Amino acid sequence: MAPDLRRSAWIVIAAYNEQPRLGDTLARLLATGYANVVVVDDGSRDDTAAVALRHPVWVLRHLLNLGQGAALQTGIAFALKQRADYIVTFDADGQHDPTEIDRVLVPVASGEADVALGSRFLGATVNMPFARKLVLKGGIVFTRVVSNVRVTDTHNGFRAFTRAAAEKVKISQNRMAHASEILDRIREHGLRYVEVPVTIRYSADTTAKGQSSWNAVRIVFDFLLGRAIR
Amino acid sequence: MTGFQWATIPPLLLLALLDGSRVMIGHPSFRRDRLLRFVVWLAAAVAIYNPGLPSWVANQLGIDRGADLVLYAFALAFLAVSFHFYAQGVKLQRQLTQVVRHVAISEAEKGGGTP
Repeated sequence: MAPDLRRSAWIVIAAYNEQPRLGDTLARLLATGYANVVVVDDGSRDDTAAVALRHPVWVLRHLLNLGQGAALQTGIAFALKQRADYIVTFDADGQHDPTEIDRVLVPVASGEADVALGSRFLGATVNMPFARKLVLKGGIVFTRVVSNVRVTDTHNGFRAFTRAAAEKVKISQNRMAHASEILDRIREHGLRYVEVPVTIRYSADTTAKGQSSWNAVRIVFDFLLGRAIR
Repeated sequence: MTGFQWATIPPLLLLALLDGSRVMIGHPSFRRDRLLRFVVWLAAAVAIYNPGLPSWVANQLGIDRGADLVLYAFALAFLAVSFHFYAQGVKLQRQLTQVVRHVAISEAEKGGGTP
């Protein structure tokens, strides 16, 4: 990857109570050469912000816990203010592989697409619980029916946007329904998108902290009602 | 008129008058709310004055009893009011998000060089 791209791309990380995992994630990420990293501490009760501040990254703090969607939008707004050409969203908990950022960025940097969406079902998963797989597959069907977007992985946090696309995709869903909202916005604005194979590693730690499968009901509820409320 | 009718109809008509007289004033959303309240107060007053009327309307709609019609109307009103307050909550949360975001961006901090 060209050094220029490593300077013009901004990596946005939403973090909530990620003190035990964030340091390792940032160390691995910074080792890949991406210098512009924004960590949005979403009102954590632990020392997430303090951990982030030990690394050469920008740290933004939400005074309240608003949700991952809100934190990502804050990070994206900040990156746009810093004149980012490309924006990558990346998970704080170490589930994503930072060496795959190049692969996710290539389609948007080359002009092939406005948005690149990571797909664990085109790539690989490590230790994915069966219930999670079932819920994610349900999400794919839901997105095809409701948003009319055909993708193989709807709730993957590993994405890349061009600046113009990031300006159009304004996330208003504060919590987890933001992933469906992004796909909705892609269709609404006619953005070109591609899916890129990525690897997602589940550990007992991240699975325990992550969303419960029942939360899918809440996501559907938030998404559909949020659409109705402008 | 019965004692109950004397006790309820005048206040309901007064409320209808208050909302009805201001139905063309202010922001469109306020006008809509006033019009809706005006209709509700008036319908309640008419239904109490003439208890046979809800039954007649119910029969026209294929519902057996007037009491059932009122119950169904309450159930629908409950759903509408619940959605209204949910929407208000979502809008308030969006405004709060803007404030929190503004503070977060204006107080952005760059971390140190060595982990």
